[in-house]
Amino acid sequence: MAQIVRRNLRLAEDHPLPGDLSFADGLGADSILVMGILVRVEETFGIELTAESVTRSDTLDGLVHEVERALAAAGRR
Amino acid sequence: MITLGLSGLPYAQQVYLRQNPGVDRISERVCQGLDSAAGLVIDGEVVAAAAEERFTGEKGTGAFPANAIDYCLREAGVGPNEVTMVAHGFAYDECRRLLRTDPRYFDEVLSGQTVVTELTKHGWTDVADRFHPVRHHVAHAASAFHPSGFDEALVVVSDGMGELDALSVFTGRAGTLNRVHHQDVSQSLGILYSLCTRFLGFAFNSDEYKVMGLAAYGDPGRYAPVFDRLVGLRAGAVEIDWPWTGLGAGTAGYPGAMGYLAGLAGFPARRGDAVVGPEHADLAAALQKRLAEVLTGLVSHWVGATGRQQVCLAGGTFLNCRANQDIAALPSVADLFVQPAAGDDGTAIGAALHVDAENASPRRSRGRRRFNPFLGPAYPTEHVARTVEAAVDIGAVTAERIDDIEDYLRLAAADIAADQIVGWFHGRMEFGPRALGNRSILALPAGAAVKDRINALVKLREPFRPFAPALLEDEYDRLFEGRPLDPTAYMLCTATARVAARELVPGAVHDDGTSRVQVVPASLNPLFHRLLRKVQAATGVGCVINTSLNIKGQPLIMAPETAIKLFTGTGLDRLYLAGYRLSKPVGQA
Repeated sequence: MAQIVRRNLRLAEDHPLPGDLSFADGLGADSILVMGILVRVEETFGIELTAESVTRSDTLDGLVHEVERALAAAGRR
Repeated sequence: MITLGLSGLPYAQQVYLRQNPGVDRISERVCQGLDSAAGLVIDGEVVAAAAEERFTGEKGTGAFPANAIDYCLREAGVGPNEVTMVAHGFAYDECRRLLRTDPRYFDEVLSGQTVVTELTKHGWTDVADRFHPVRHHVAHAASAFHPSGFDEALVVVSDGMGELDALSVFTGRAGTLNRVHHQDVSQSLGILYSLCTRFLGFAFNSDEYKVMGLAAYGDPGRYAPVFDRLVGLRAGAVEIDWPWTGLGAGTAGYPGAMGYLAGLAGFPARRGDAVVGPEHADLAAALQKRLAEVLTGLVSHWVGATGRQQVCLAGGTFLNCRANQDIAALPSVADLFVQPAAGDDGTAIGAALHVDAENASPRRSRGRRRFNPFLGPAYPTEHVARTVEAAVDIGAVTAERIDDIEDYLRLAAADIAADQIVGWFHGRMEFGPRALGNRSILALPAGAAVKDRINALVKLREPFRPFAPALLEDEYDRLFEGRPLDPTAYMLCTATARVAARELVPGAVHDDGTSRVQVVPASLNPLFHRLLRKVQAATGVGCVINTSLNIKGQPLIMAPETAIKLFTGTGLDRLYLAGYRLSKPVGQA
């Protein structure tokens, strides 16, 4: 997940990425860049995030949580 | 099965302009959903298509294409209730959960419901049951793949942006498309080119072709390091190294991007009314060179990765005919089809073709036959006669009706050979931005000065913009290098001029030694082909300058009435209008 975030935000591979750092405020990602992250996450994990999940995915921790939730809902955990 | 396809987001520009009052002219199109159009597909064949701009006169309009829809249905002789499905070249609703867009904006601009509501307002019933949104890049891809006649192909789509994507790569096989790669808006080659267009003082999402024309006058070396650093390609993925969040997307005029580009270029953004200097031409040249390099690298990579050597291209980026020349020249590309309406107007037919293919029983391959771009309105003889008579009655023109087609063509060829600038209006209007010989201005390319004459007397456009040659297939080898692949039939690919071209048709050779050639096959436009044969007999070269029948800033002329108005209001010497030879009254010529 961190790799997806780093790649979409064009951060260096060793860029520190604390789980609670906000994509928007901490990393400067606008809605387009966050959308790019979400698209890649969905493709990588083969899930479909709900609109509610998307709004909660503002940090790496939040995204991880929402992906786990989606995987569980799909019975794949 | 009858499928109506639509492009455009009817309220996108209206809302954008409302939110950005006083925005400058070159930033008026910083939004999606322009170039609205309608197309009608019956059992897999496109039978009619037209952009709304041709009916309203507002170039590139995104207004709901009510006139274009009416035309398509009338042309096919069907009513709204007989239409099986309505396909729309956007599918924002399925992406809604991923977009952090203001819900009111989404409902007002992006949702497919806007189109359903408009159709209902225009008297359609049960629209929601028949409405099929199609992802924007799928619509583009379908617009190229299905008409290509290829059984299998690589399909590359590049534009400013679709719902989420700016670049998509598909494989097409047996009528279906499978996406193998895509990239989001932050890596958009289309937006990069449009931003540079805006930076150079031309209109964003409109005047990119002017930058391409300007590039021929520049030295790409001066700013090559800028674009080499800015735009890369790795493993078939475009990498644009810019501070996306600092570009000012969403703010009129992309102020951040203008500042960023100024920092890279070392000069400020050009005002639209300022002189075009060498630094502007050099920047355009470097941008154009890098775009061509990246696109050829991209196509080359995906041809290798998929093994598909027949290539289809669509999306506004592929209206860049200079880059298309380099793609066509790739040894790994065996055959190439570029959708003539590669911009968003083409998604009207693409969406319809996609929905038709998904819902139809398997059909036999249509085989490799040329896509017919003459999908717009034609006018009955009586309509033309009435229009001409009305113009004669008020003394605007004099007219001769010439019934013998051989005489008609001979006279037109003689006028062209005598260095007259001739309007040429026949048959069905072209779909897509290029005039391909049914709504054209024609002239002899034998002297370089003809460019200035057409620009000054008729087109009233920037002097650096080139004019394109239309020629017979048997003239190609002596005038131009390389192989005339399919895109040359639609004026979508430049070719390098030989010495003979510089000597015989200098008026149609651009400053960089290329021409945006149109090779005219008899099968696609027999009348225009016959005219070229007559020009060949009269001058020794079967080649004319072919530019669109319009003036700067206006869409291609659609109707006889507007053709006559253009004729009387400009320096056109003669108008050949569906069997009539029109002249200006003595003293006005």
